[in-house]
This record gives sequence, C-alpha cells and structure tokens, in this order.
Amino acid sequence: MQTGIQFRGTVPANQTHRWFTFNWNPAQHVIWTIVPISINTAAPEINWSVAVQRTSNTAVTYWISITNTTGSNVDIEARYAIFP
Amino acid sequence: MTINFTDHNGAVIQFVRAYLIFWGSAWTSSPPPTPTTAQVTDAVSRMLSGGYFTGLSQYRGIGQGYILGTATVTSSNPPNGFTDSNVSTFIKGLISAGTIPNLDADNQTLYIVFMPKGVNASNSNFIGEHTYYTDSSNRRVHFGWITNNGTLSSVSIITSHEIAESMTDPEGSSILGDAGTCSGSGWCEIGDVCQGTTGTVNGASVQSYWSQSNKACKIFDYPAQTYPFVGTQFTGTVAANSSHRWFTFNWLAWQQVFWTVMPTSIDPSGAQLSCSVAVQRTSGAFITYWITVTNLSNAPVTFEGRYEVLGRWQ
Repeated sequence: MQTGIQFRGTVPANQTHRWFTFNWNPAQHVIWTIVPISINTAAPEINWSVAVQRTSNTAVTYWISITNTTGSNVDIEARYAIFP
Repeated sequence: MTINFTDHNGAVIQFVRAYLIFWGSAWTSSPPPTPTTAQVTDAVSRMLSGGYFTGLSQYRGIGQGYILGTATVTSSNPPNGFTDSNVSTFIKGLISAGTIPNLDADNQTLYIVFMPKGVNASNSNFIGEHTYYTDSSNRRVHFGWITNNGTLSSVSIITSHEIAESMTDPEGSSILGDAGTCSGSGWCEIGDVCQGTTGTVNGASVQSYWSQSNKACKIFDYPAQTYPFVGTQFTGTVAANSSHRWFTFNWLAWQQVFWTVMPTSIDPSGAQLSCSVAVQRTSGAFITYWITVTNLSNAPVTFEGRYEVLGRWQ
C-alpha cells in the first residue's frame, strides 16, 4: 500500500472548498481521506466528498470537496492510499 | 538522582509547523558547506514524518508536524558569540519584511535558526536552545537556534532535541523536570536528561527524550505493523428511515483510516444503509471519527461499523 499526503490547505469557517489533483493513473485504486490539522476538542470539524474525472485513457483527475462544519477556519491535510 | 517530569499545564505545541531559517552567507558558499541546507531540511523532514515524535503523545496528546517552509538569509551574518536577543531580533526583522510568514492562527509555528559552522553562542556551553519572545500583538513567538560543527548528524541531533522540547515546553511552563531532575541551569526538559543517547529514525539522526510513562530515555519509532489491516469497531441498529451518529475516539493521527458499514440484517428488496464520516482532531496525536449511518429502508437495520487502516500518513 502506497500512502502519502497530496496537499495541505485551509477551509474557511462554515464553508466548502474544492481542490483538484490530476494525472492519476486510472488503473490504480485510490482512496482519499482528509484529516484536520487544527485542534478542536469540542466537535467534529470536517467532512469531505470525492468526484472523479477521466481526462484521458491514461489520466484521472480527483476533485475533493471539503466542508468545514465549525465556526473557525480549519487547516486540513489530504491523504491518499493506493492499493497495490 | 530521581528523574521525574510533571505537566505544569502551560502552553504546548500540539502539531508543529517548523520554519527553517539558515542564517548567513556561508550557507550559499561555493563549494557548498557541510551539511548543506538541503541535507538539514531533509533530516528535519524525516524526523517529523517518521515515528520519532510519536512518543510525545503521552504528554497531552502532542503529535508530530511538518516543515512549513525554509529560508536562507545571506543579507546578514550571525555574530560569533550571538545571544537569544540577536536571534529574536533577526526573526522579528524577517517577519516584518515579509521574508518569512508570521505566526499561524493556532500559534503552532516554530522558527528554527541554523547557524553556519563555527558560529557559537555567547555561552559556548550551549549548542542549541529554544525559547520565545512576545510580539507587538502580545503573542508568544516560539523559536530555537542550532549550532553547527560541520556534521549533519550533530545538527540533526541537536534539532531533534530542541523540537521535542519546544513542543512539550515552549515557554518553560509545561512538561518540566521536578526539582533534582536536572543538574544544569535553565528549564529542565525532556531532552536535557537524555543527552548522549542517540539513534536513527527514518534516516535522521536523533537524540532520545524522556518518556515519563516508560521512566526512561527512549527513541521512539512507528511500531512494526503490516498494512492494511481491518476490523469491526462497533455494532448498532438504525431505525427505519432515520439516521444515527456514532463516534469513536483516540485513533492515531498518523494512520490513514477508512470507514465502511455493513448491514447484518437481510433485505433482498433494496438499498439499506449509507454512511458519512466527519473528522475531529482532538489533539496533535489523536483523531475522533464521527460516523453517521442512514437507514434507507422501511425496517430497522443492524450493522457493523468497520475500519480499514490503510497505512501510515506518509
């Protein structure tokens, strides 16, 4: 299993922000997970969804929408895992 | 001497954002110095992303971190016999000029200034230090400085010591040794009692630090583990046409975890369940997952909440 961090960013309070990442191999099985970096001891901070675009026979673009459900900015880390 | 550390409940850095600053024209000399800025940056990146800092979770759930950025400043040179004040003035000037970013909103930034080879502190007994200053907005700016004997291993070891202590005690008010724990002056911190015990983690040379839970100096690394591994975390029932949310806490932040639900009630007529996951970073080291399960059917559905631990974070 190959894992890594694709990007870090900030989602403003009570907003959804979308990132995209391109030229992924369509033959690979990729799972995306997002975790906050900002500490919050009171409540859940974020959720996310993934949309997929096949830009060519050999390339996939992932569109990752991350929603901040808190009243403060949340820094996030987008992680990928590629199944062997 | 009995070694014992106590949390005095002051500030800690839960998830460090290290900004590396290489001070002096010697860092861009030709031929390049040993170590180079790239070698030092790589070593710090390795210690932050490796398992070295996972042992700090015993101290209020402190986690790991990452390199926020680097800067090489050749417009001035540190004076031989420099002081903390020289370094803080230098950092203030860089922030003011926009050369390096100001503190992040959570004040998890740690500025680390690397000296050229042979440039020593006013007290040459000190080869590295961390402290803070208070800026014009009354925020405490945490920083450290690292001297350089011309070897990567020495610079890396000193840096590991200072980052570990900065995270657990950035202002001399948190994880501190009880009276008699340290023989030297200054803040008695988890690296001070473990000097001389070094090792390699994720390819970076590091110094051990005190583990209060182990009552020993330890060099931490990720536990041996084969990935992925899976399991069932909980079972439950969702009433017909409704949603219910569960939470599960103290998951290691450095692991990538994926959640699924599996009905255990049989229904051949149509879709039964969907789920969504929300995430909360309760500390640098730990995550709480909130799993909302929606029953799409007209009958109660029992299910298993399953996890798949895909691997480490990087």
